Amino acid sequence: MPDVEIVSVPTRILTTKDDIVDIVEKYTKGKIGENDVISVAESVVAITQGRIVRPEELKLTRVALFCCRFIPDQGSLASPHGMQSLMDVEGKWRVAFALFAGFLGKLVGQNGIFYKWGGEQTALIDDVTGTMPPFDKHIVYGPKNPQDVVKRLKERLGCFGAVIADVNDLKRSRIVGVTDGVDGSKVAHLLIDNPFGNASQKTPIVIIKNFKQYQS
Amino acid sequence: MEVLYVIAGILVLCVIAIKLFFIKEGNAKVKVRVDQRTPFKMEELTKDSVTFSTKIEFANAGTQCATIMDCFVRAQLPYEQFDGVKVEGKAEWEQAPREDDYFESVLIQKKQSIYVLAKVKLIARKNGDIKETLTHMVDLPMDIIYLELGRRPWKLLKEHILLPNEEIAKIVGIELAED
Repeated sequence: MPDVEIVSVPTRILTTKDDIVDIVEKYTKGKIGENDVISVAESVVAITQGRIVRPEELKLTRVALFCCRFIPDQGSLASPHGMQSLMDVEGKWRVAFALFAGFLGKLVGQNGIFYKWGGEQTALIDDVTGTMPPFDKHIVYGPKNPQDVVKRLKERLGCFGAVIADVNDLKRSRIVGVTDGVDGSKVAHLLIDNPFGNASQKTPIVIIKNFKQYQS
Repeated sequence: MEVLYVIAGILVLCVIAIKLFFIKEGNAKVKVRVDQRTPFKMEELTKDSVTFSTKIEFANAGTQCATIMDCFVRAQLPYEQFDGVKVEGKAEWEQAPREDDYFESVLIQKKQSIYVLAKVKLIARKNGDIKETLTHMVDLPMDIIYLELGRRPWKLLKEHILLPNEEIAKIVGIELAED
């Protein structure tokens, strides 16, 4: 049985002018086979979808200024800009309510309520500094319709499957979108060492060779 | 009526508790210590240009993380005062220098500091000889402009530093002319 292999694919910096499926096809030409899984970094998919905003463009509300104070210092929602960006897409009262519910939940030992009730973007937004330049000065949302994106990737590339992954150097690996038949938890495990690399490495695409055999 | 008093009392207690929580948590407090900057030193000298730099501490004296999203050096030398040089300013995060003049957003953790190199390049505009030109140089004021974020809305702030002509002459090793 062939060994599973992780192949990082360098690209130029991708922007809002790019289509992620076209780009992945272009950079993986001749490198991907029918047993492989294509993996794309979550923030890059979002950037190509134009899901970015500069803090200076946000109109801050008092609710955002208030709510952000309850998020731990390191979180992407700890700044009023990060919090406002979330409220702009999920609704400010929904987010405020989820935060309050999360607080009550913690009192009774129930964690994660804020992220569950605050909307899907709650866990996906990256505040400034969270992404490579030139997007380090932007707030980057999570991708839109990730399931549709991975489906289109798989169809275009003719590979075994496709995933959108949110991975960082702190050993966090999470699958945001995955095609049918692919075990997302196994992909997440393989990506735990962040083969997407840091900003300067510019490798937002990773091919997992022979994943089909690895999974079976 | 008593119920209303109880509700009002609980609300007041909540407000007080939240206020106390905010006070306890504090905020980021970035201090740009231009008064403690290092003396200017010469980075590069060519026939027609000279580059000086000074290191400035950006200290977060607060209790929350701060972000410096941008920083640049704005030289304030109008032609009306001295037209012998063209001045180019640049700010560079000491820990991650870049050649492209791009200032990458950087976090300053609570009670931590980062250091920024403020650089100015003086280019002779007329005679192509920077040493000769600088004998007539005047004081060079410059602003360190930075965009800061934290728990508060973003702010564009600036600090002012001065590179005196006597210091320039001393670093380059020239005598100032009697103008």
